Amino acid sequence: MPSEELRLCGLDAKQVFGETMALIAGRDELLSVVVSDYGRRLNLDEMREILPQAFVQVGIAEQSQVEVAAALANEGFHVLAPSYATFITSRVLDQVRVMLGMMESPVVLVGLSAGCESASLGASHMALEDLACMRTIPGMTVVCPADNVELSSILQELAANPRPAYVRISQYETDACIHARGQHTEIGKAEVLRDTPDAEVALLATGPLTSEALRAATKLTREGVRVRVVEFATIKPLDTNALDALAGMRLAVTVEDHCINGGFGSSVAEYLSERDDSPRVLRLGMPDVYLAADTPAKTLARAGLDANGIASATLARLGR
Amino acid sequence: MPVSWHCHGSVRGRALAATASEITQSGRADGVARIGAGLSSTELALRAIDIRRQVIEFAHAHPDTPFHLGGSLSCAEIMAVLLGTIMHTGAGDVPWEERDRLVLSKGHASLALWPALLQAGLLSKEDFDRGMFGPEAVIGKQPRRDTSRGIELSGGSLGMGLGYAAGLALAARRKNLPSRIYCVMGDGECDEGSVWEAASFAGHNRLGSLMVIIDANGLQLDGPTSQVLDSGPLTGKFAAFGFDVQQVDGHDVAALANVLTTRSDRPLVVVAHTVKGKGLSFAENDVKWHDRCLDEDGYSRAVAELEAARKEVLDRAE
Repeated sequence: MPSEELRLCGLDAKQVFGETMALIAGRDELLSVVVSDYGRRLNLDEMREILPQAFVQVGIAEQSQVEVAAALANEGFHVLAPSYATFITSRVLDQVRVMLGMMESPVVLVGLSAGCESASLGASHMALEDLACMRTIPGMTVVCPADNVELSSILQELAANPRPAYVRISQYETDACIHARGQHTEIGKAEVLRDTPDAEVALLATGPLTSEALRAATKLTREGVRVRVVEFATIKPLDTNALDALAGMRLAVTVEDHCINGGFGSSVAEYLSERDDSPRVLRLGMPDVYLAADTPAKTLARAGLDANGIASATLARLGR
Repeated sequence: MPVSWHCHGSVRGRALAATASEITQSGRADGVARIGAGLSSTELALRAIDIRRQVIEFAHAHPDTPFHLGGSLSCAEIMAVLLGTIMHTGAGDVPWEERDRLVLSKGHASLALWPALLQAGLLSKEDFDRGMFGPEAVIGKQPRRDTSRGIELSGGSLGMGLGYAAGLALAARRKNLPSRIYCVMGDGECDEGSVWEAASFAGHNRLGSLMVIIDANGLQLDGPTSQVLDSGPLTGKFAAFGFDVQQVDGHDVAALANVLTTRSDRPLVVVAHTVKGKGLSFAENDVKWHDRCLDEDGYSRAVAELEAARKEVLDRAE
């Protein structure tokens, strides 16, 4: 029998979202999931059986989705609002500014098919600016789970203690299981996944590419590089203690399936650039262009975001 | 965090025991009596004049700041009627959770909201004394959400109030509350696409506790609404979205109060035909007064005209 963690990690993240909502519905009658015609694929039938009134459909209307979600949240409901990542962030940025930012409505926005998960649909469906948009909103919590164990844990935590938040879901393989032993991610805390005494290079990863960073670390170790891998599930608030702990190291490499500008790597660079003893920073991410449609794997590889790309970019920066 | 929304009081207790749809169909059991026992038409008309007077006092106190005078003056009767007689504000014997909610979607008209909330006892003179700018201010050119003072929405970005109000109506239905949700929008604001996303949602869900009042003053920043982007017959548009629709003279307090007591299982839109800049002869129907500084001469004329209007209301009442 595989563990519950391994079972979760073997599923599509959207299935995990639905399972988690059903789990929450069984113990929290305040749960509300406000969808914009993206409910069927989220496997919400079980939740709807347990708590029919939790399901709110607004149609293909994300502005209305955020407004309705905010009102429900401010009236005491525990509200999640999932949609395609690009539509629930950049498309409704002003609603998010007003409703979640200024009004501090405790809505959990959930961005689906983020990064280049939907790369086959082309640039319109790739969410490569969503982190940049969300992390500039004051008071927002921005989270990018690396696997389904973490996703489920974070959704449960945010539903129990709602706050203005954005959970970014992207998935490129259904066997990634970094948290197979069921570690529960604490929001706001980075996690050292692998370390070496006197580590000289830190791979700082967020989201599903954390798996690639771990594979890259294996390659780098073979090359004699002393590597630490740190997962930042939370991008905002940024765990600056984990960054302070890099003092004296040679290089920090950030890895994300988001545009090179404005996302996780930028966030790390902003912090480290203001400290005297920081390592140099290499930001790896998607290029600053709108990309042609392709498979996610090819799109990531072209951007140098597979294990080989991460390892070779790191070695090049080290001059090896 | 447990949220309590259990009923208090016997009449409300019975109403709350009914299903949500029964409540939306029958309306609040004590609604009509309350309105009958509320302020008279004369008192409401005087309150509207007091609101206009305070609007120009704000402008007079900040002579170098352009204020949205036109659209604040046009909705004075709407504010006076809502907060003076229609709404259960939670300030009286109505439990706070069961209060009616007012969503001022056209936040630019906040200058009319502040005196109406003061009249209703939700704002205090001390709140006014904290000024309109800076971190200590409670009131300002745009509302900031502060439900304890009856301010449900942070304003300034148009077109968001109706969706928020629809969400409040849905929450009230789910909590089985008798609360009604009042949303004040501008006719120019109806240019925003988000208004129609929200209208679609409210109509589809038959949110009968939602009462929308459109301050149809016919002007927006760039000119007459009919020329900027003709909104056409708003009544027909909202009817097509599943609303009951009514039209009234938005400066007739009795007509406003009357239409806002109607109850239905569908959301209501009241298109209140108003005059932008109402009460100041030199500002009426003049797009320049959308937002403008009020100089000393303008202030003196405004004071004199509003005093004359007050006298006229009192004379008519005798």
